[in-house]
Amino acid sequence: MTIFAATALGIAYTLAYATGSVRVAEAWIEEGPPDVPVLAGYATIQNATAQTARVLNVSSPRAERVEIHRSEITENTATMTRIGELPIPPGGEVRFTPAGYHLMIYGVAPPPAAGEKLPLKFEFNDDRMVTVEALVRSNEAPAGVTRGGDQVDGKP
Amino acid sequence: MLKSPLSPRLLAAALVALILGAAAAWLTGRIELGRSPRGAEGLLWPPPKTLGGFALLDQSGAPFTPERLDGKWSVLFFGFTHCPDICPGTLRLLERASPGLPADTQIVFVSVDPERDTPAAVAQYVGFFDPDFVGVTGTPDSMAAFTRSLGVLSMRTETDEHGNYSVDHAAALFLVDPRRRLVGIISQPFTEESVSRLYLDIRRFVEQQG
Repeated sequence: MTIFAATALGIAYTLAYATGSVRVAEAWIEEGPPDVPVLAGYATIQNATAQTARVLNVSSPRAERVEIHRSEITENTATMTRIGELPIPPGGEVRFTPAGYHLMIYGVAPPPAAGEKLPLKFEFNDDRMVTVEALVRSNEAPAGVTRGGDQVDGKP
Repeated sequence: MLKSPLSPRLLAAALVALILGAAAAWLTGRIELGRSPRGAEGLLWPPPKTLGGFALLDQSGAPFTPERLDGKWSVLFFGFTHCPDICPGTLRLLERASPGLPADTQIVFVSVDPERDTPAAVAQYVGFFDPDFVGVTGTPDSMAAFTRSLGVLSMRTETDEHGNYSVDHAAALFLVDPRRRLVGIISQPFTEESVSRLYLDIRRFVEQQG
């Protein structure tokens, strides 16, 4: 019951402002060391339209700039590639995760503390814009709390 | 079967190669770095290579030379401070694993980006995750020589219009024994449980060989 209420409340907060049927959910930013030049951010982008939605740009008034990158670990090698334009298939979603798709958030000054929220604006190819408030938090989840899926991040 | 660790035949003898529920965890994206059921792989390294001849710096700017490996076990891993995604994941995993490891174990973060990673930058980065970890950087030449001696490859990506670049690098953990010998690696994907288990298995095996 409590979990349900907390989850519902969390969803109300974090699923934020869905525009039409492309939405950005579960946005969060990993708390980094002080003065670190770049922070990683995560979100799930859902596209309920019949067309491919393309993320063309992500920005935040608190950051110098935001880029989409993808990390991969293959054959014991860690690589990271910048993604210019991220397509979200019709009826599909792209889930950002550690060691996968993530946002590179450069130049946030002063560095955000855990518990703060940073606005992130996602711009799509059809002039759609979705702004979410991403919670800054540590990636150390206590046992039993998932960091994805239906539970809302940062609200154990 | 493990009687002769120095035999080249053992080169390919993996200690463990398990994938348990990996696909399910991965495909649904419910990735829990610490609790994932994904397996891991460890490899003994026969014959062990003795490390030496390097002159690096630790996070306080003090020399990090071969003696710093003496008399304790070292778990080396590679990363860089402009890496906000994979490197923190590994740091947190090792931070969670370290209380369960023998006290004579040092965890060593080695920068593959010595151009940008000053000792101060490494100190701040590593210290944020665990002040007990050792952070190592150096001149580009000294670091290149060190990583080459370990067989670790790292490669800078092209510099973008903002002057940024990334560094592709080895993501495995490297185990060095108290005699400065590189005795094994722990391959990706690993978990805190598999890191502890493989490290202890390899350590026990090496100690039994004397």
